Amino acid sequence: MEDIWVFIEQDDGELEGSSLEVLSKARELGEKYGYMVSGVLFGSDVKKLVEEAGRYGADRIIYVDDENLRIYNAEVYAKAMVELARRYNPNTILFSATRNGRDLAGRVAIPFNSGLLAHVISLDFDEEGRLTGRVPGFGGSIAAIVKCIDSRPQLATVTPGVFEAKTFDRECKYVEEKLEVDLTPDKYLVISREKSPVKDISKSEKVVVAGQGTGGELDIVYELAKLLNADVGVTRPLADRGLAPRDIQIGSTGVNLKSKLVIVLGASGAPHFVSGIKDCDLVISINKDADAPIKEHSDYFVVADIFKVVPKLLELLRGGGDA
Amino acid sequence: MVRVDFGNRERLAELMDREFYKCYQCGTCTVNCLLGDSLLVRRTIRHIQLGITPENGYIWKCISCNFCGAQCPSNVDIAHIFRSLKALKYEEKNYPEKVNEVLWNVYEEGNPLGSPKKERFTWLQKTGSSDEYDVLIYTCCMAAYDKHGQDILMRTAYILEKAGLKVGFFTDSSCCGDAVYHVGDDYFYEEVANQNAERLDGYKAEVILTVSPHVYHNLKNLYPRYNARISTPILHHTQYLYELLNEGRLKLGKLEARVTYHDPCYLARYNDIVEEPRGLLEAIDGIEFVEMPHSKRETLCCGGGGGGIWLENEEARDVTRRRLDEVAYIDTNVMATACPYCIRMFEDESKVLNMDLNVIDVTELLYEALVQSVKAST
Amino acid sequence: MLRNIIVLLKIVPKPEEVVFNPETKTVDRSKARNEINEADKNALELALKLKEKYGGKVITLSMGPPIWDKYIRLGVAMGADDAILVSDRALAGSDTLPTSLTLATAIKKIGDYDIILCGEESSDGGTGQVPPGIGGWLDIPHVTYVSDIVEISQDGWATVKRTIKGGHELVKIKLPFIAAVELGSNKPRFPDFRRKRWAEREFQLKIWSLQDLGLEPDKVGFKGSKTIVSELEEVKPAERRKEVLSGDLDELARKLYEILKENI
Ligand SMILES: Cc1cc2nc3c(=O)[nH]c(=O)nc-3n(C[C@H](O)[C@H](O)[C@H](O)COP(=O)(O)OP(=O)(O)OC[C@H]3O[C@@H](n4cnc5c(N)ncnc54)[C@H](O)[C@@H]3O)c2cc1C
Ligand SMILES: Cc1cc2nc3c(=O)[nH]c(=O)nc-3n(C[C@H](O)[C@H](O)[C@H](O)COP(=O)(O)OP(=O)(O)OC[C@H]3O[C@@H](n4cnc5c(N)ncnc54)[C@H](O)[C@@H]3O)c2cc1C
Ligand code: SF4
Ligand code: SF4
Repeated sequence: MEDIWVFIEQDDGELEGSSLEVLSKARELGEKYGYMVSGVLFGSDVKKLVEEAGRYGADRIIYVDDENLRIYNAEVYAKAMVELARRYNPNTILFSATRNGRDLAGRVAIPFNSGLLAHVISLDFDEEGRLTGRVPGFGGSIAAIVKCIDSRPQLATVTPGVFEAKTFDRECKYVEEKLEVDLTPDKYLVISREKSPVKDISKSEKVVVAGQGTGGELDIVYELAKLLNADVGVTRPLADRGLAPRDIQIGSTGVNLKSKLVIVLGASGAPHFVSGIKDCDLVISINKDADAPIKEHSDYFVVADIFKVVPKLLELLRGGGDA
Repeated sequence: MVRVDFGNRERLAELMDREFYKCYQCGTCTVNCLLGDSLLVRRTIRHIQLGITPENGYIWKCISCNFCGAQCPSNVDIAHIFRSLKALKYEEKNYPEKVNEVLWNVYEEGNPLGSPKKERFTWLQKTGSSDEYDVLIYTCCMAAYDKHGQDILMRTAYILEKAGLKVGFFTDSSCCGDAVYHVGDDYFYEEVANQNAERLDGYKAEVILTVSPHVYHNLKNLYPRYNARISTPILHHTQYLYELLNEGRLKLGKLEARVTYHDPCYLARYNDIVEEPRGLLEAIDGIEFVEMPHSKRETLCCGGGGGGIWLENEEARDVTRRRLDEVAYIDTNVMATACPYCIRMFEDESKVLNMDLNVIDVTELLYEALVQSVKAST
Repeated sequence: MLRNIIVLLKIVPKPEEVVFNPETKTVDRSKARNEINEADKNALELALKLKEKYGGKVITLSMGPPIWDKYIRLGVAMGADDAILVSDRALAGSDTLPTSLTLATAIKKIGDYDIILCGEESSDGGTGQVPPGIGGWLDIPHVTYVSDIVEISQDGWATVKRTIKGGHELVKIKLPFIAAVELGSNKPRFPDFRRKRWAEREFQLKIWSLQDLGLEPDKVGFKGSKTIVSELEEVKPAERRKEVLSGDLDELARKLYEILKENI
């Protein structure tokens, strides 16, 4: 039986949730078209991770346990993936379109001369078994239906958050592989890292988004979020200025929200930004420009200066009013 | 012993139209600089006199208000010296990073804000274009992309039309280049100036009207220095409206208000336009006009000039506040002025200070008075 | 001193000016103004900074139609020493595989390179697949989401700052390499308008055809691609109520408060 592979990303022992979404989607496609579904996991001391990943719909998890694979390394991971794929000859390899997933997929495509679908938002096979997906372009306002042709393996990266991770009550095999290539990095060494835990806001129910209109003064934004029990996101320029981590940037090059409620404070509504809030249920935006394009993407569009209206709102929320 | 670098001094002299030779180091400028003593005005000029190029950094804070120049007993055009220094530093590619963003915005979108080019005139209702106008209005970027500014533009047009004039907007305008001039990019400025002059020549109009003293100053006084010549007369709206008033073409009703007037630097100090706006205000029946301690050529500054409004010049806020203190002192809550930068700066800062102050353009009061008179006659 | 620093410049339509024609199902770029892809400007800025520090020659490379000329010259005005445009009708329809192959072949032809810089992704296709692809074709290391090149040492290694989930890491990478530079990681310098005049009037842009590169036409374009676009569709924004609230601040705050109360 032919195989759909899903690259299961982990970082120093922490599983990347969005890979599991892709795995569950692969399960669905596997059922539909009769493919076997394999998760492929690289890491060091991965016993626990492998078992965890196995619950999300894989028939088997193929893994390589090597100290050199503890964290992502573009050179080493590509070497490992290419050798493994040559050995097994899978029909398809799917990656979550995280930074590392996109980095790896782009490199792996070359030696196989494979078609690679970019950060798809839907995924299927056509009647000839060609991998097909919708690829957003132009900042997310347009999507192309793109197919792989004459490719083996066929490749795609999948936008995080579009599919749901589901656990399955089924048996999963665990296959440890030893590679022939030397996995010691030769031209690419990760020498230090600085990271702080970030909350994954892609699944938050309520988010307050700060745009440039806040002038980068995020105090009232955090205050509002706190009172609403919401998370905070930002537009790209604020992340560019280092005022917030990239991980909470909303938009086509950031997180796509699926929240029940988003409050957008002082963002103009550029296409690259609004593609990140289009799947949210209720959008309230506050902007002092009555014609800001964000109006078209809001359920309630409040024309006001944030610094005038939000403090009043905070007061009401704190129970300062008669409420 | 201090040695004079004659070569460098000559170079600087040429760049600055020899202004610094007039300085006899009295120090009046340093004491008076609206930004306090951080600009070391006198010392800067001393260095130049010795042929030493001042170090970079603080010169970028100068908001070119020329308050110092107005106090100088020897009449040195000090703001010009500072702007020349900026040009020199720009040439050496030694300038604040923010400058890049402003210039890209002007280049890509035709305004320093970076707002989309195609939205410059979305507020303009009527599109009826014609080949000939009595008055062609050149908008200021600040006004075109700002609700309040748009009101001012529309009201100015309304008043003019009521006076029986055919009014049009210069819709293929881009930024007049004020910001480009003040960050010192002479080559880009030359291109902007010539492009605008050329496009303006494509219109037939009796006068070109600007609602911004900066646009006015650029078109009228700076463009010619960059070989960009505009054949049509250029007037600031207060000048033109004042003419109409004197010709008896403005019918103004009554308004009850206590009003002061803030002279924008580029009207008062740079172009000596001080009587016209006052004349307009005083022509409105019922207005009680009050002067602030500093007025006319001695006016204070909003803090937004010299490119300051685009470069996030934090220290300029003190300048804004100093003026607002004077408004509070004379106890009025209507401040008329005649510049989109001034309006933006004062409006924002008075909000921060929670002042009960209405910052408006002279035009807006005229508009109200006109509406009153229309009401009265029907 | 560094050898050549090659910067990849793609010219793209301004995203907000592209319109989709639902009838023909095509993208109308004709009314959109073009610009240098924003992230590529960041790459060029980084290259110019490296040149100032370590020497070398900055050469821009683009693959596209001749109308890109004007924008490529803008790159020269920003400070690039030389510029090359690969242009050939046979390249039309290239997906990322032949695009990266063509660019890699051109890079080989330029030769003598130490660092190749490009944007993290383009604002139109936006696949981000070209940079690792070029690394693959040239068999040199690639590194993506780079916000800075911190140091280049004498022994032929560079230290780069790469954005990762929750922060960043420092990667030591061996020259020559290709780096994809993060959008917004620096402030691109404004072109020198004196140089721009020269770039527009006197600078000779090199235009290379497939033949110049020695590439077979069936390796590129539609024929060389391993993906096909079967259809384009507009991603319709969700229907929104677009209710505008304005007026008195206290009332606004109260209305907002009520809407929030209803919805949480
Ligand atoms: C390839 C590419 C990818 C991109 N990806 C993303 C992405 O993933 N996410 C993203 O966000 N952007 C992205 N961008 C950038 C995007 O195009 C816009 O530049 C960005 O979204 C603008 O951010 P903003 O709305 O915060 O700022 P601005 O456009 O500057 O808008 C600020 C708004 O605040 C309002 N305002 C100002 N002051 C106040 C006040 N006191 N009270 C109320 N309102 C006020 C203004 O009226 C204005 O509408 C991308 C761009 C490119 C080219
Ligand atoms: C809506 C849409 C969807 C698409 N989907 C796919 C897909 O799924 N798979 C696929 O293989 N192709 C796809 N393409 C085609 C792809 O966009 C083109 O092949 C394009 O020529 C290169 O890819 P990119 O713009 O995505 O580059 P990216 O990889 O996003 O570009 C990264 C950097 O590479 C450099 N670069 C890229 N192209 C050039 C160039 N022509 N000249 C100079 N430098 C360059 C730039 O520095 C750029 O910043 C799609 C195109 C569209 C419009
Ligand atoms: S006030 Fe005039 S004369 Fe006196 S130091 Fe300043 S520039 Fe010189
Ligand atoms: S022009 Fe204004 S800011 Fe500049 S030195 Fe003179 S007083 Fe100070």
